[in-house]
Amino acid sequence: MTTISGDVAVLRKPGVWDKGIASWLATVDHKRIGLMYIVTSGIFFVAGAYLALLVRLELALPGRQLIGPDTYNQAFTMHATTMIFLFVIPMWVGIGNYLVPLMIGAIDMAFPRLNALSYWVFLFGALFMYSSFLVGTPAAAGWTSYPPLTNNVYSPGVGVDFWIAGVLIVGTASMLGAVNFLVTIWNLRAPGMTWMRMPMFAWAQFVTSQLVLFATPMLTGGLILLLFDRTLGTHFFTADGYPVLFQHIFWFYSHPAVYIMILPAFGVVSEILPVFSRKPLFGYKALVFATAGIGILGFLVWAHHMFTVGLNPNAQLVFMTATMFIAVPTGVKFFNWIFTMWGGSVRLATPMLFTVAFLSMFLIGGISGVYLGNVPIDWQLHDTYYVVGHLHYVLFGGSVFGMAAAFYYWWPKLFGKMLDEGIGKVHFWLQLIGFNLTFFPMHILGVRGMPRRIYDYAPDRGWVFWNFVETVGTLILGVAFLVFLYNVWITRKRNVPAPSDPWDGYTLEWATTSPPPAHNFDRLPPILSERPLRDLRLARAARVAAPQSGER
Amino acid sequence: MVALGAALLVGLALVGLLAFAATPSSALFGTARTPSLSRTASDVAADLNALYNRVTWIAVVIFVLVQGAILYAALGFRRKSEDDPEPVQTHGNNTLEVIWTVIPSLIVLGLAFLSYREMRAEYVTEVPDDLVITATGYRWYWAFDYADKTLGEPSAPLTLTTATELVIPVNRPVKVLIDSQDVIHSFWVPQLAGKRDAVPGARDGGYGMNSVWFEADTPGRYEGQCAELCGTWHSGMRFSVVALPEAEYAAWARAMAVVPKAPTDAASPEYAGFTTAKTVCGACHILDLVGPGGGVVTETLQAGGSLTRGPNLTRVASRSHFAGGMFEMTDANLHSWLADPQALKPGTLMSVNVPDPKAAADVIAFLKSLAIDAAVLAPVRAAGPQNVPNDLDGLGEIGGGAADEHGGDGAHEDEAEGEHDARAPRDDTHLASTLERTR
Repeated sequence: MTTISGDVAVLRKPGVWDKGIASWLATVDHKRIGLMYIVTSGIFFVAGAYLALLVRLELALPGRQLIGPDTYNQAFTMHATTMIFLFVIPMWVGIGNYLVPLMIGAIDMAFPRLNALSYWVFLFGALFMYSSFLVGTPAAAGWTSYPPLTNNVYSPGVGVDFWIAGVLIVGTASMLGAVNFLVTIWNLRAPGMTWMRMPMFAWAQFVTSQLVLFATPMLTGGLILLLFDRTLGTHFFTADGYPVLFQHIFWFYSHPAVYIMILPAFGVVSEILPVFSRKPLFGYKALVFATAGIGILGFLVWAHHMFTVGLNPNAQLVFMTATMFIAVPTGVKFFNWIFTMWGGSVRLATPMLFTVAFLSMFLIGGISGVYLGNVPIDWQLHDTYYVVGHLHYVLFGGSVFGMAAAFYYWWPKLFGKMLDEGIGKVHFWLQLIGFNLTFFPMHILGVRGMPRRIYDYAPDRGWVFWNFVETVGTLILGVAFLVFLYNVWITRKRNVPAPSDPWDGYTLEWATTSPPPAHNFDRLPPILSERPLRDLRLARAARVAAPQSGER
Repeated sequence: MVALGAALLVGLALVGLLAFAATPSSALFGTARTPSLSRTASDVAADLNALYNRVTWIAVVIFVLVQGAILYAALGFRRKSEDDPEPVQTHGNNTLEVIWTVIPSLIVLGLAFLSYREMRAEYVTEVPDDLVITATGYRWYWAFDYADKTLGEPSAPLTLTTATELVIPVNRPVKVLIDSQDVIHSFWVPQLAGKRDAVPGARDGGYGMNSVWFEADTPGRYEGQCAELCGTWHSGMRFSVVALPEAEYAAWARAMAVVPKAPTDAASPEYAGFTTAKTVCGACHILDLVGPGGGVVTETLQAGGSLTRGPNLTRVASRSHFAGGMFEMTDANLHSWLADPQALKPGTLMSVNVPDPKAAADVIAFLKSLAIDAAVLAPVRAAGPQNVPNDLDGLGEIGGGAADEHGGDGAHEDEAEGEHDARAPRDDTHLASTLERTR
């Protein structure tokens, strides 16, 4: 076994499409497409964060601070739309695009051109949606777009049309990507990589892609009907039709979408915890089954977003119980993660700090979810700031902390340089504090009766103090992000090359150079367990200890 | 690095404590007008709060155990040096897997059972239709149509129409049917009951209107608000529920049910106001009046198909607030509103105005002439927030769940000494400042 090195010679003469920007336009390399996804969704993260900042500045004090009510409604609508459709989902697609072929020992995705198509369709859909800022007014009816509010009567103008078309296009890209992931993982695993030796991140992407593939068409159908209502005068979701039907269709997609956004983070955590505890993942099979279980249960709980619309009580009971049961596989995951660290040799490097914080924060999001899944309690808490707090503990405390862990962990692999550990820790503590200051008080405001999506509130309701605290927290979060950007910049400037395997990793991506060559691997180590690189290190150590017997 | 983190956390805690000490308690613990879930004023809300507290007890135990395990596992097994030997490689434990699958499943079933009991109580209870109020959501206010069989006859209940201020008797079940005439709204008074959505078309669509019911146990004013995004002024779609002793409520309802007479003296400012109101306001608002001939005349232009539908103006001057509960019903506020509603509430659907101050004064005089007797109205105007001792709200529930289970009873005990407080004149300054700010 030797270290893998260098690029193989390019067999044809480089042309105009092999250099500079043109090479990015023409690329079908999963790593470059992954990076384009990451950069694009990163830019949309900045846009979404800016919109969130507008919302928080407006709510810091009662009365008008900055923007009017219509602009405010546009801001939170586009904030959520951006963060869900243009940041979290595509960011995981990007990270998965880069890592999954490496982790399963493949040379690329199964359909490289389809992969490029997915990205370009995504980019087009995202830009199309954002062009509503230029050609008129963006949608202002919430990311849930409930009719009749989104009918052309109550939302005239093109904003909602752009929103629908944008989501349709981005959703199409998402489905194309999901097919690609499924075929790649099914067919392109390296020899020896059985299903039960596959890295958990690849498992997470596998289940996530199934959710995308089975859930997104439902949203596509619903949005097309809504578009018909708006443009052709149909009555699917008007008062003459059945407005609640849209909510069923919407949440049939959008509840699984929560797992589309969080399962990859579960995968990241399942990769980082073993490496930084120097132990195998505790209960690998249980984690696989828990991931699949969450995927299946995720399709059976959509109506818990609708406990106040007047569903049949028996249906509510079923949806409530199914919802609560998601806590079981999630709990299985938590206990396995904790026992992965337990008795280990834990190193709290920045990726691990973000991972532990992920566990803590997602735990809070999970527990608050049990309140909301509880029908009678939801009659009180539904559509309050409690929900806003809950969902941010899941999607920020979960997905975004998971992404931060992923970036600090895989940055050397992606860019060949290590992010600075000291700055990383400053980033971590600022983000943890800012996050909790921003989102924990939302639970308090929720039980104090503050509805979500309100532009303003009366000063005598006892809501001022915590709203102000939340806005301060938001500013700290902003500083945390700037620290991260500074880390990226200083890392680039210092230009210290990272080794192939800086963390003593376990999975195949650490077997190649940082960053990997276009063809990924010169040769693969044998895959005899779910930790091929540890097997490789042990084999090498054995050879060093007994050179005469280990020599080939 | 962990030391740095710990120092940061301690520092943060100190800053928090300082902030805590320096902040008025109303800001931290809520004000008398905070519509907190734990300040219950009905059995329905008290039951929901009790369930919330039970779940909180379970949640706190789970949180402490799991969070403790996470921190212990992360901090208790730190690597001392990079030369540490590789720890024992445990791959899993099937017994543990079974345990931590079965125990959470049992907890979940228990929680589901608690909720099932509560749902059963809610759905099985036969709510008397003695007092049925239809709350109709419009962008952006709530209209209330009463049908009270106790004050009328079972076959011909007393009916009346109002908006933004829902006056109810204490200790009598009230059933609220929830309707919408445009988009989806949600009717919510946290201290009295959970929320229900107002789905347009439900009345005629065959799937039925949603309803809630409650029986207020303490006189007072309880804040409500639309809880489903409904457009520009979703935030300005507020209302309050005023619970009065039966006699005071009956006097108010009987007075409100009488259709007032249209002014007849052509020289009076009221008559001038009536004329202006018919032409300017009548496009969107309804006025029910007894005309010169004696019959009830609904003065409205209501050009068919108008999307805009303002609240019934007949007894508007008898309500405490207007414009979706955003402004107090004072002459000054009405003048500002009539002069330029878009300045006070940009984007409001009221697109006309009465720029001439004299004409506006006439309109206001006319509307005030239709108000019910001031003595009958006095208890409504005086109703203040329920005087409940400040507690920690959400935070407090974690610590004092069991004690809070009968929060409603606590409210009873405080009621006697809180009475004079509740009836104290309300502070007008904040509304003036609201007007100031919205400008």
